[in-house]
Amino acid sequence: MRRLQFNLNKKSMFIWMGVLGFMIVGFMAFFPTMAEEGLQELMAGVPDDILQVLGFESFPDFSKIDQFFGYIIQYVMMALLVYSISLGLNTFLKEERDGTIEFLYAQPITRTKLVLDKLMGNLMVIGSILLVVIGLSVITLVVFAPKGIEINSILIDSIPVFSFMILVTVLFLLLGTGLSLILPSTVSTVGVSMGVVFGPYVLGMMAQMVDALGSLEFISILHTTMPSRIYAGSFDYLSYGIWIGVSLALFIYGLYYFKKRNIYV
Amino acid sequence: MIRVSNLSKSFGSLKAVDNVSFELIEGEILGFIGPNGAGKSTTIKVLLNYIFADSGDARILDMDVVSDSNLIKQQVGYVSSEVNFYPELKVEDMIFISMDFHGARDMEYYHELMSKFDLDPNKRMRELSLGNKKKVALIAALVIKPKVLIMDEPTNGLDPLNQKVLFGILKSLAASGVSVLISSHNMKEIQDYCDRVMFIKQGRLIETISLDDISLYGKYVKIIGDINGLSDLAQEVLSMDETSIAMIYDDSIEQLLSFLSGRMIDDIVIEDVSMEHRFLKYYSNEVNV
Repeated sequence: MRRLQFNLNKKSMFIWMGVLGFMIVGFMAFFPTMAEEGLQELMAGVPDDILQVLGFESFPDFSKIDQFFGYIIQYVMMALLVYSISLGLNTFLKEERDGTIEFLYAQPITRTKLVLDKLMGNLMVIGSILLVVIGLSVITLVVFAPKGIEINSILIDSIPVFSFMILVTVLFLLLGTGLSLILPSTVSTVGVSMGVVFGPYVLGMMAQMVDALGSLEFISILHTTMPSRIYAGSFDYLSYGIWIGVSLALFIYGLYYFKKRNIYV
Repeated sequence: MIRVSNLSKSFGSLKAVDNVSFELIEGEILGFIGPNGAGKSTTIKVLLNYIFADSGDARILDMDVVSDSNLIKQQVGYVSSEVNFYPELKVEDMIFISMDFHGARDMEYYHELMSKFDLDPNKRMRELSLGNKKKVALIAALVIKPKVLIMDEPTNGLDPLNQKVLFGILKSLAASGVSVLISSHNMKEIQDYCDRVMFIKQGRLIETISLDDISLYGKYVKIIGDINGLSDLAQEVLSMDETSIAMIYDDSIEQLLSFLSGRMIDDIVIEDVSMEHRFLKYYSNEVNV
């Protein structure tokens, strides 16, 4: 079952590997130019509000490879989260929509094992993509690092960034899978994915811009796990705890609900 | 092999299955007949634990269809009325998945079935016609060597040659003790291959008959012409207008011919009662025949 789930998503996995890999290598290839052209001075005049909309308290110093990498990897992470939650959502919604789930239900496998095996298959897909993303990130950091930079310390500082990337990607997969067990097959996977990823992100931006909403920033895990913050050693454990709790609770409730509900195919 | 007692399932105010009871014994082919929406598929989906019954009891191989569903499916082959497979997979992949789930390892039997149904194992599912997809579903259900087969309109989309192949296999499986529950709209195949037939209407099981006894149900008679008073002779009137009558007649033919003598008769058909006539008896008002 795990292998089947992996195989069914292999094609999209390779496409996303290509897209994200291209983003990382493509952007990192610009680092030497960015570092030399004094972009920092050019960006010094950008108003604080605009920086906040972009998710920064101050604009990153593009002459430093960790800050430049942190800037581009946040967009890679957003794309990764959209893919991750879509993968989770499609686990059952697409199969019910296409009717392919009927074949699986006829097999000798409990509903719980079916869900867990599909989740494992999806984790293999996500794991493979993360491996490529993290692998290419490390390679590009090493290749494009300026001479005289202590690359080992940058790589060590990047471990928490990669760890949060893995954590959040898995959480969004859990969220998507949980939702796919609860929502009717008629809902739009793309709509729900965008809503879950960018809804809290917009709230996080508003929290940064409006002082009265400042305390709500924890709602956006994209903000609280932003690489620039992690590199700066700023961690929001409340946000992580809430997102872990909500994702697990939704998945467990989804599993319970799925075991009890009628399956219409 | 299958025992269903007082099974009921409602969807809102609609009683899809209403107090249905039946038994499928070892080596039997049991037909399940009714028009669309009569409750056949709902009953089958309760047996497969897709849908939970409101009340009643259903057991397969003496195991509860809800609590022992996993163990039951290990020994049950299922063919659904609509076949939706993963379009990107090959025919052999789909069948091997079914074999893997059931721990089936008999490749010789797999090749035998592939050859009987004349199916190319390397074709992608998206390249197949409805009939060929149905063949994949049939092979996936048969190759696991089930003790019970549940088939929802298995011949839908199959050409007559492959229908014959299928029923040949089913007959030989039944002879070796496999039990088959088969839902179909094809009266001919039900009559030719089933041992017994259940009729379901608006969720209720209205009759179960043995095909061995079908001749005991009289003759089907259709007369066009002067039909005045003929309905009084009928065991069942199937349809009637001013100039024609279709009925089930169970008295002597001589008596009927004597009644008709001297009348203006344009056409007359007398034949053994078939499954189709039984079907029309129960459902003619529903299907506007």
